[in-house]
Amino acid sequence: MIRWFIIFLFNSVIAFGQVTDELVKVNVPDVSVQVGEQSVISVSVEVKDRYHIQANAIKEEFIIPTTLEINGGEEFIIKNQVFPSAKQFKLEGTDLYLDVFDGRFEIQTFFITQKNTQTKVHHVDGKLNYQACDSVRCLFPRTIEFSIYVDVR
Amino acid sequence: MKSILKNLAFTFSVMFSMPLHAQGVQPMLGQSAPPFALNALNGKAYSLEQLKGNYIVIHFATTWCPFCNAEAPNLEKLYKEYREKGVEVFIVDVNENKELVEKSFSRFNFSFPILLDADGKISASYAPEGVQPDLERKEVPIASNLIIDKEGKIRFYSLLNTTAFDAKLTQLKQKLDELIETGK
Repeated sequence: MIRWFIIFLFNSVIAFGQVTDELVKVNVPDVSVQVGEQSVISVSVEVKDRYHIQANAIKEEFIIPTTLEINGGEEFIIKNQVFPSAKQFKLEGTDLYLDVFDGRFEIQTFFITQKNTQTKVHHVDGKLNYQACDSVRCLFPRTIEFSIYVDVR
Repeated sequence: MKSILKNLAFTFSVMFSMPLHAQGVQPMLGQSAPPFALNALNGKAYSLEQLKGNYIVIHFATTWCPFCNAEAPNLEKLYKEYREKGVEVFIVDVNENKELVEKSFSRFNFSFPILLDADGKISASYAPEGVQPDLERKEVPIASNLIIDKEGKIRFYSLLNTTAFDAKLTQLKQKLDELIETGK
């Protein structure tokens, strides 16, 4: 009984294209695209209130940037990604600023389908890697995994 | 009278629901520091037991922690300023591999040892009970600073508080001066 309930819950999350961990919520709408055409996957990210995550483009080498990995396999060629502008977070007591994201934002990933891509709904794996801090703690880097459904017509 | 009691109850409930950081209250003060025996980047072994008789400053860090990196140059300054006064400084790197730690911290040219807490167990043992119970225990002390006195007791413990971030270690130095002056 419990097992069926867990399966139901899991399927519910997948159906709405939303995956969450304790700090970040990822929303991924289904995508439609014509064979051989370009389209975009818009991943909506929501960072828990009072937290920030490091931005994708960072000034310091060892800070862990936010990255979005999308495994297009052989069917999809991943092109460029567009992240929002970072916010500046001042490290109090220093002249240093961190580039961060907080609240809700969107990451766009442009892709092209191959000419021989099968017309069907494809299941594409995505991963959001991030490192979060709030005012009293910095947490180990985390990864949130999710699925994207790409309907190739 | 009733309203006084009501106000007192409210004040206490607010006080005890606030995190320790926000209150500026330091945890574990006066307690014996949890023992450790760790290897430094250069392979040398250090233990709390062998360091007794010195003042020990410990900073828990990771290579990716922005607050740790911001504080790093000031730790080196502190070491140079206080080493003649019997103060030993250590960074305890939490849960990272040696190669990464070596590569990352080489830019700071530290003249004090960097200890490797590869599985995070030592860091976890320094996590104050009840503080941030939702976190893995080894995550809690990251970016914290401690002073352990000559007898192995914790005399200063500042958990990360980014709204009052003391990158220049002013409060830690004040406490060190006080301890050195009184010989405690």
